[in-house]
Amino acid sequence: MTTMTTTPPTWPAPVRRWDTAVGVLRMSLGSVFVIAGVKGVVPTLFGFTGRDDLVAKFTDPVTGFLAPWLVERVIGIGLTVDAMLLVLSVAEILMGLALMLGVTTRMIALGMAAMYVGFTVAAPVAGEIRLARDLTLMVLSIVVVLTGPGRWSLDRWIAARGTLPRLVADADLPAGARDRALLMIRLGLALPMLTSVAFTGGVFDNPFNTTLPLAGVAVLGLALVAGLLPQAATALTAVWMAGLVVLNLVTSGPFIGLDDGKREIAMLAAAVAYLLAGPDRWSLPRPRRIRCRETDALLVSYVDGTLGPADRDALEQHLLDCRECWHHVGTYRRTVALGRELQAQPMPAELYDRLERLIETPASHRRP
Amino acid sequence: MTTELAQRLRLGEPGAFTQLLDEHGSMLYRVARHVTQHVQDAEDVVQECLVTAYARIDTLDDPSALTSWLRRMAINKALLRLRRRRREPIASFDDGDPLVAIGRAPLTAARAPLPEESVLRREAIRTLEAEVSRLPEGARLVYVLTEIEGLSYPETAALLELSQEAVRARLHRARTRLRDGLVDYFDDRRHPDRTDHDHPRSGIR
Repeated sequence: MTTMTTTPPTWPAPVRRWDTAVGVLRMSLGSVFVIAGVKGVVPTLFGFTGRDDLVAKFTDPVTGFLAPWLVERVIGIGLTVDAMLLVLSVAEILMGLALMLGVTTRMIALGMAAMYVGFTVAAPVAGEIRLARDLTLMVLSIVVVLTGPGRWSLDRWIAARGTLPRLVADADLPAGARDRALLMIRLGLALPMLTSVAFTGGVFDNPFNTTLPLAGVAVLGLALVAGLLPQAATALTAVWMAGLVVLNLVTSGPFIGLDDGKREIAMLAAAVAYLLAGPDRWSLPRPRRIRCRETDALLVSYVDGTLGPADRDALEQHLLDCRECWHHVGTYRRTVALGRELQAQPMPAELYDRLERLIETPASHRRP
Repeated sequence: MTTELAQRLRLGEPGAFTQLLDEHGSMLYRVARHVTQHVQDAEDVVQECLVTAYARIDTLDDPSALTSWLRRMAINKALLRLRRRRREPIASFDDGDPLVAIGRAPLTAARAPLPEESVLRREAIRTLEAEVSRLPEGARLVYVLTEIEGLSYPETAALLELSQEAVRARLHRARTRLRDGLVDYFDDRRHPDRTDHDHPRSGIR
């Protein structure tokens, strides 16, 4: 029989995986902002000849990110596009770093989501594809608003010292919210795939419709939307995104490569996060979810450590979502631990003495 | 270690018998006590086991199996007494203390208090002892063999002539009943081990 400690593990595997997933997502979204911000502050690193070149690229009426109407407004209020880009870039760096560190996570993520909406609105005609990819980043930012900072964050560290309000760093995430966050991840990943299949050629060309057969991309996107074998679908997505990131780095060098592949980095992270924390409740086949009345039947194996990994995960996930069952299993474990302590009970001293005397009497006088 | 002891017993070395008492006496008493639920019977069983072990050590083929040989002996002798006692169900009160006579005196009564152990925990163990004695026989036997004596499910199943599934089911039933009896202890707000506030999602602590 396996030995067991008195106190149950405080952080079961599903919690650890969830916190890792949230951390990965947070880090990647932060890094997207930092990369974009650094490009705006030091454009020469990214292959631009200077700030004028940067402004020209951003304000190009066909491929630039700033719509002509927006440029007019900026100049109209007495700013230069360069100054606006600089302020925006510094803000992006600060926000990105804050998200990576996980400080005021939910506020920052909400701000990012709003900015992604702004970017898509500000983008001119070439917007369709960027629209889809930046909308994915918006969805992923909202996912972070939902999930909160997770365990590996400054928020949690500060909150453990009781100085931040719950709104900022709330660790409590019920099963429903977790499922919704996971659903948003897979819908968000599907969005650029499906739009890239629908719009191809010319300004619509992008890595999503030029690196794999369109039919395959369509199938992958639809599988993600339907939630069909989402672990396989997100694993494929992760491999694909990783390939794109590596390809960018190899062909364009570290800075331009990172900048070109920054959205793919976030999508890679999102796919990995889903792999770690998924599948969600609506995926097919339906994932194993333990109900309260099933808990009891698994307890002997669970306490012995002989429960299969799938059942153990499902059970631990249920324990996280159900305080009654957590209490039930906790007291059960403690009962087991106490019971094993009974093993240390010695025999009464009088009996020992009597038996010792018995031993010392000659064998012939012994009563059988 | 047990192999060595078995050899010494076989050779009739002086001191081997005392060593047997020291190393295995408590186990024999524990098994006998929990199975018979009767102090006098338990003491008799231990004595009988020691005598039998002395007389029949030659029948032990595998010296390394001394512990399980003794345990099986204790269980069989204890079960025999339990069955005999059940045929004469009226307990004799000749011991003076009725609690002792009917075998309800907790095992821990004979135990010296350990200062490092919390009072609450000691209380809990006494409560548990009392609850074990109240378990139905089938569940109790399985509980004693698996949980307290640490036998495997196959070993327990073989000893009690049950299926392994039945062993697991009875163990679970026993634990659940014992847990219910310990609820006051687990909910004790003074106790650091209490389970109502340790949920990982209990918010930030």
